[in-house]
Amino acid sequence: MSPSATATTLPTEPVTPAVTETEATIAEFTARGYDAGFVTDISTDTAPPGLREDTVRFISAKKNEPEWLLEYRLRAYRHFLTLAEPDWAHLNYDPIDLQDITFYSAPKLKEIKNIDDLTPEERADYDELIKTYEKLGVPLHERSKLSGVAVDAVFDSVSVVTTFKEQLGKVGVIFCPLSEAVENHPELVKQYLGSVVPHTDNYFSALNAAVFSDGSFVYIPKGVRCPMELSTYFRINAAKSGQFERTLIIAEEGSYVSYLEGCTAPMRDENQLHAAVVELIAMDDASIKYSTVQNWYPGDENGVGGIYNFVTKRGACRGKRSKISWTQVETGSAITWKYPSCILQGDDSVGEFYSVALSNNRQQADTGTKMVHIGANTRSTIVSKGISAGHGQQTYRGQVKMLKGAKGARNYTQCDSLLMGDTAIADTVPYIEVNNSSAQVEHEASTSKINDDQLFYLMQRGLSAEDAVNLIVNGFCKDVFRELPMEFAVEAQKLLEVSLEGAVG
Amino acid sequence: MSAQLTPLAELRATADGLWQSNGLPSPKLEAWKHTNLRALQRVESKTGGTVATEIPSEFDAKIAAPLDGFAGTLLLVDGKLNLALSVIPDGLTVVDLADAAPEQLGTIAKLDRLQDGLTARNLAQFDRGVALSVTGHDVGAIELRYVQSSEDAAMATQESRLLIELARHAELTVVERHIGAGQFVNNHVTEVDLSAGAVLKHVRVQHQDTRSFHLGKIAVRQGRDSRYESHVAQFGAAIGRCDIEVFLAEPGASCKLDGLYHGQGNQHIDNHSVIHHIANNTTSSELYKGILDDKSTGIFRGNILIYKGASGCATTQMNRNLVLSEQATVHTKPQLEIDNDDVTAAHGATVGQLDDDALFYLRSRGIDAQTAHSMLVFAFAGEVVADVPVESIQTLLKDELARRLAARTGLTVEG
Repeated sequence: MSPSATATTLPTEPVTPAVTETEATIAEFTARGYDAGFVTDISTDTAPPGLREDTVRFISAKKNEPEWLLEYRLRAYRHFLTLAEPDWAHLNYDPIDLQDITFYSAPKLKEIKNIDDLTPEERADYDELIKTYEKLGVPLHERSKLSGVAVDAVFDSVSVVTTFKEQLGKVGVIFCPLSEAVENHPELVKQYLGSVVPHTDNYFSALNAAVFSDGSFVYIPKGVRCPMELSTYFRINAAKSGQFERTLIIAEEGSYVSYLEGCTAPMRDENQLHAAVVELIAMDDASIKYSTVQNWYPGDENGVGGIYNFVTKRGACRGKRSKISWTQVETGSAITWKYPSCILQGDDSVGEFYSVALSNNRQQADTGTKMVHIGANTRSTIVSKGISAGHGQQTYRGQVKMLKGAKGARNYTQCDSLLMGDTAIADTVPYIEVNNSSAQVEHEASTSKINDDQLFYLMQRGLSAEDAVNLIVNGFCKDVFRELPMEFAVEAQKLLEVSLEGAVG
Repeated sequence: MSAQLTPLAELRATADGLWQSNGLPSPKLEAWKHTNLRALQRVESKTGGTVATEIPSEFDAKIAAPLDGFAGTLLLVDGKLNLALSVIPDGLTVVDLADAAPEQLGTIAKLDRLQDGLTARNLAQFDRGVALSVTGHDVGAIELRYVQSSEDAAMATQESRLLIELARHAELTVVERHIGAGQFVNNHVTEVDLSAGAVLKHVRVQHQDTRSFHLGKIAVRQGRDSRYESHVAQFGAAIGRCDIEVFLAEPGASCKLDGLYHGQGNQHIDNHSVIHHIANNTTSSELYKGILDDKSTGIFRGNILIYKGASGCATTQMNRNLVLSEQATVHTKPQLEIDNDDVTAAHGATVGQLDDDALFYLRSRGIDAQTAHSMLVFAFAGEVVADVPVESIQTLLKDELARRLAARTGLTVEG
């Protein structure tokens, strides 16, 4: 209950200290806002805005790409021209003007071999970059506290630093920017790029295939358990630019990797486009855990600005007993359009999807997953928690498909929505398609507001309204947070608190 | 003759335009994604559309024999009311739509909501059916029996219509039985208008010939504190489609939509529903159960919309499917669209098989595989059948299910 709501419904009630305190907390929260919203002042190398065949060639040339990759890009671009933007999602936004977007923007600073060799300008840029990531709490020094995590830092269109490359190399793990992989491991990239999400898949994946810039490339050889968490930190900085990263993770037989991804962007009044593609491939007995904490700038309370997040993420469980697990916490972005999926091809393979999506103010999210069961005894679990506050709009859209060969396949789906405020919207759109008699599918969903009794109980115990709501929301999301690596779980919890500020009532 | 058209005539002209421009719904429409009407189109093009068949004068009176527990029976032959063989109870007003068309028609199954041409075609072309109204107290249960004049009749398309209007606090139970034999298309639109406090129990038993097509649309407008209960049992037709749209337009209105479907052979059974919670404190519950055998396909799509400002609404929705054959297919899409936080909503869907443990238990008690199998299927369907209002109809549904299960082929006896 917000103080104003209390005041209007119970006009005779005197203002208690608790109410004053709540007001103060909310004011403090509101002032805090989006704390990743700063801009880094750095010299950049930028492509002229607009999308033409030249743009595709420009990006490819900038990256010194081999002929086959340019051909791949051009094929995708030509296919893209034949497509229309999809309109089936429950999203309302002004049309995206691709001719207004800068498709490539990179810091002038190239990879740093020796800091002492830098010119004064380069040195200034270098300091700015390091400062940026420090502010965001991302460790770029290998000796830093969170040394258990290797980081690939992507700044606009390029990867600026990748840590622990050598240490990982010792066990045969390849962790590097995709552009570096194209140079050093072309046979792997050639074999797997576009094999899970072909450029013909959808409008945004076609666009990405044509203009993708950097992203991470991960290769875990046979039988290796990746000794540390791998992570990529995506940062959009340049104005009017779009980010089109591409991530490719290959886990060979019997390997394991846990990969984390975080994202932020400056606060700006115009919308910026982010259209990424992520492909995961798991062979026999391999396991990939992919976690995302998405905190792109959500726009202000009136829906001005914010990132348009149109992402295609898909994992292929190619091998027997392989496993792919998606965990996502989506608190940012003005628009989220994202359906991390699993193609369960290998017999006994497992797909998981755990998601918390929050939309406050004018945020809109149309998100969910696809589980395609092809192999026998494949299993999938979907747990989706949607929170909608203010004028937020939230859609769970999921598909569970059991094909003929998926004998004994099982799926369990639970998707709950929590509504805060009578202008919030929550939709649930599950598609279930079963083509064989031995498959079992269960879908459960509920939608409700925060329970008044729970709120009353907590406040009566001395918790402020804000804290009480945070506690309840945290409990609501627990099933998903439990799946996140520890550092991320803490961050996710904090993010949720900040994102919900002012939503109480 | 003045050039001024009545509102209904105008509506019918608009509907005709819609039909001409939209035609039969294509699978490109979300609501028809899994139901392809190509087969229907082929059949209709052969006969060139609507063919009105004559009602034979010597129609067997046996076919109109009333069931137990009914106050009246209306016999509709090829969709046309046969007054001679019908029994109309006191308190029920019946209008033959072949004689007169009430202005109310077309105002509930609204054209502006249509994505497809079928309902529009019906409004433009209907020439048969009945309008029922009750102004007094409860008149009990009546049956509308839809039969075909002849099994050998040339393929015919029937555009039939049913209108049910209940005045304040009126109560009525209507059982529609579609049992026509032969190859025909039944495009049947039902409109229901319930005033404050009215209660309608509406049963549809769709048991048409498996060569025929049943395309049913039911649109319901509910006034304050009114109650609508629907029980749709689909057993027949090559393609059996039933679309229900309920508008809970005034506070306190409630509805319950139940369904049972059993598919055999190549049957394609499709149940769609949309419930609009427009007013405060409206409630709805929905339970559909499907049994799919052989190469049949079962589709369920339920959409529940809670409007902005409609507070205090509660809704539950459940679709359960039992798949008995390797070749059967199930598509289910329980969908919620909620624009308000003061709501309790839950939905679910399951697709599964008979429980092996339960089968084993029954067999360990000396019950043969076929019987054990039937018992479990019966138990699965029982929950829906037990809520059907008239006992003789419950018996009829159970008998039909038993008959179909007995005829089941390909049963594997284990052990």
